[in-house]
Amino acid sequence: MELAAALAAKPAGLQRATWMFVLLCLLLAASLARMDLRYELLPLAGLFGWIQTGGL
Amino acid sequence: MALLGALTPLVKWPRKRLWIEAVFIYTAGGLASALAVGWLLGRTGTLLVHFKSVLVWIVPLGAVIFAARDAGWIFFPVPERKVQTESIWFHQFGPLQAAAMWGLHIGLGFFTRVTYMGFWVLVAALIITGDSSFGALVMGCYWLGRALPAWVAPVLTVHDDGKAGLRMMADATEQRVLFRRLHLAGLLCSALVGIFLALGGW
Repeated sequence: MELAAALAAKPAGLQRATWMFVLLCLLLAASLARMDLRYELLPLAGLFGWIQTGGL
Repeated sequence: MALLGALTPLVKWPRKRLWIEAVFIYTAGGLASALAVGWLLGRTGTLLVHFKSVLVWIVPLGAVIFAARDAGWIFFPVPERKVQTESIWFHQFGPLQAAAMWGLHIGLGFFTRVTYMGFWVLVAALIITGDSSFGALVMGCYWLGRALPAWVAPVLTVHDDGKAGLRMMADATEQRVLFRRLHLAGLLCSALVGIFLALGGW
């Protein structure tokens, strides 16, 4: 029952953290775009990595 | 996520330092693997330099196809090894050694589950660039994004019941739609960057 209760809970922590991470990626992307377009892959890579763990 | 379920409860131990050490070792181990893989991918690209004019279009094309898959318009299986890292290492080797082994194993990228296709877009991009330093940098960023949930997992717990991993899993199940949409957006951004780079030269 304890496990069921834990799974039924709907904490928004992961969602909030994900949006904060997306914001960080966007800021990073905006600043890196001035240097070299290739560097845009860096925040995208970070985002894909976060999604890979968080979205499993 | 099972890994988070193993690592995160360590934060409750009398020595919180053990959790910090385990997550740090996990991150460092994975970073070592990721840097090596990125470097090798970039190095591989130097062998394909003669085909570069054609290959540059693989990234935008692939990203669009994968985005269509995420949108549910087409379906094909993700190329992946359907295995996760060995959770039993925790009991066999203890938290620190297991964390190092998990990091090294997962950081390789190709040898555990790849649920989202963005990874393959990065792999293609790194091969096309043919730049081993840049390859290491990109895969390093991928790994840092991948390891960050292990650092923030204890903060995400709402109740003080030591079930951070379970709650993260519950969250992830409910938020799968969010991740799918974010991934779709990431793929479309990759396609745009890929088009600009294909036109301007990698």
